[in-house]
Amino acid sequence: MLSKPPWEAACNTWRGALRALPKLRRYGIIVSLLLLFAIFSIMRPEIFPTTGNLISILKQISLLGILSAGLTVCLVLGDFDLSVAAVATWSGVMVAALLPQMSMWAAIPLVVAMGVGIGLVNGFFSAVVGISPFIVTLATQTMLRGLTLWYTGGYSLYSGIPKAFVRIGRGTALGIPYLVYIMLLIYILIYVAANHMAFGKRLYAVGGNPTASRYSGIRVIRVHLLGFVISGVLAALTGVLLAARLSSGQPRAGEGLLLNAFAACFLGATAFRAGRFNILGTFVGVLFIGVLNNGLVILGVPFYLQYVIQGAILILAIAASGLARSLSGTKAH
Amino acid sequence: MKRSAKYRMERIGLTVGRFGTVIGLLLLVTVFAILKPNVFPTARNLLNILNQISLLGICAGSLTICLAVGEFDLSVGAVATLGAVLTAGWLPHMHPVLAVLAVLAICLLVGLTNGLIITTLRVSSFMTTLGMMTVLTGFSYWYTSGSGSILYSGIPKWFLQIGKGSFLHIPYLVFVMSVVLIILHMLMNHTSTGRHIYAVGGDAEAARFAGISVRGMKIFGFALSGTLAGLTGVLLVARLGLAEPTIGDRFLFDAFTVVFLGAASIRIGQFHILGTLIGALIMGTIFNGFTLLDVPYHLQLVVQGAILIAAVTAAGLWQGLSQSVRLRNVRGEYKSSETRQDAE
Repeated sequence: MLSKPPWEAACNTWRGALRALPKLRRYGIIVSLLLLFAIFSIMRPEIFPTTGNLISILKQISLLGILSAGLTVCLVLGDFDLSVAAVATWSGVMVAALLPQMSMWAAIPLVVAMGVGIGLVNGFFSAVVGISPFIVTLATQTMLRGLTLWYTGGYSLYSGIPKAFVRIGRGTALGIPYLVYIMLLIYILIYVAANHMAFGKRLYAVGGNPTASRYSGIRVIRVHLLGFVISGVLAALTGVLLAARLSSGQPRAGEGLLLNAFAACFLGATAFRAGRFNILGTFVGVLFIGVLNNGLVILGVPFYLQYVIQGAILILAIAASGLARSLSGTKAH
Repeated sequence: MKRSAKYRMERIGLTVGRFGTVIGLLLLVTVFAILKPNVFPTARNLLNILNQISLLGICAGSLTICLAVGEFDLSVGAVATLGAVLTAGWLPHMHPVLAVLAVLAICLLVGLTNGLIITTLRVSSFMTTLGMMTVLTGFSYWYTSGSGSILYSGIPKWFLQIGKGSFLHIPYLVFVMSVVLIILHMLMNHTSTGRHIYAVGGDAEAARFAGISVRGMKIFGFALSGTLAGLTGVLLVARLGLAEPTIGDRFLFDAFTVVFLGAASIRIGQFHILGTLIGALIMGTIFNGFTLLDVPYHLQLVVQGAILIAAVTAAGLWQGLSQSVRLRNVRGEYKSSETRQDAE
């Protein structure tokens, strides 16, 4: 009988470590978030880890968070929604235009209803007509951008916006901004819907295999439509809140949100349900982007370097999870 | 009798539908020619349209290759910006040919990096190029930050001549676009590389089993895309005489629109260079015509989006029709072979 070579044990430990990687990878983004947090705390202990700053991080990410939550639902279904930022900008401008003419409680629902409408249009062309959602939303975002700039002529709308409306965007309760409460509420709602209700099962079923879901009696088209409507509504809400925070409707306010929202969702897809978009992961992704931006600003890094670092970290984070995947020999999906 | 008439209608529909976007383009040209008979349909204005789309055409051509391999390249706009910023920055200090070659080499490197990250680490191309775009945007801002974020001094006159001059009344840029698109067209349709690119884009797994280097083709696609986006940037400087860190931004969405319009024409459902040229022509005609009609630029964006949706919807309908006809033909053959067997 052959005795085992002495390095066998070492090899086994190594293999065991590799086998543990896929599990670790699920929490890679959380570990990186904590690491980032620790680094910033060590570098600026007097500013970064204070309650005030943490609340301000939460406030800074609240709008991005709401937008990304809607986008996540779409991405779970396998639909790219490139129109979210344009919908947000459009809604911000619309609410600022409507507010002088009507009560806040009429204007906000009206703008959110527009979000439903845009979502239905996106959903109609992609799910019913069957065009790739990437193309449909590329077109709708171009149109909305054009409409927004045409309507405003490139100028901000800031007259006649009531104080009560601005308070939504700037007010606080118990020291925490309203915006943060709204974001958390939306995340809880979507989390419960996606993980503890039939809706979530349908969502992941359609996203995973539309044909199989159709055969098992899911109305696939309806689920896609609903996904786009949720995304549209949350984008419209983001726009309304953006207008409230800026106390004006600005025709370029939402432009930076699109890429960040996608980044957050993709970062989040590496966490928890590895390789799949999920709402909890998106929240971590949004937090990651928020902490990174906040920390870099506090460190006094020039804004152009912030871009470079953000992009590099984005690639690194995603690549790290990809590396773990190829090491462990499993494929996503 | 009735059925044969229906079949004939279908056949006509299939033949004509293929050229839907071309017909749309001709319609646009006709409408503008009727509305502005003195200005629009002149040789000078048509050359002007070609000149206006030349850079978009090059950029969209590069994107076509990337999409044909089945990958997104969101970094084209940022690479064009990078190319422009570096060109404007290096021209005053270097021999122009050397500067341009260096810029193209750097953009090639960016493309290679994209391709290597995507194929080696199996990261989604959407995410990688999004990250690359952010990095490059930051770099361009950094590079121009010393000079008030705009570079325009020290660019040699003759270099600007590339962007403004013309030969036989045809602008140089149109020649450049034609050469690039012809080479790409030859590459995609008349070389084995082109076949391999389409094979990888169609079904990567099948292509791999057929012995095609999927990795190689993807990296090649990204490298080409990066280089040509860089060339777009170089020519942007030649045309505008300056570079600033948002100069290439609009190329991203415009190039995607053009390529998707192209995939809805002639060879429907496939990304090809001829289609991309048609898409670019449609975009150019819309902008030129509507500008002549004094329609505000922002409303042109709305028209652009509407045309994209209309074209792709029509292409989808065409695909449905062609599929149903093909299915029926297959079924018909099956039936006829059955009856033949019965007779035997």
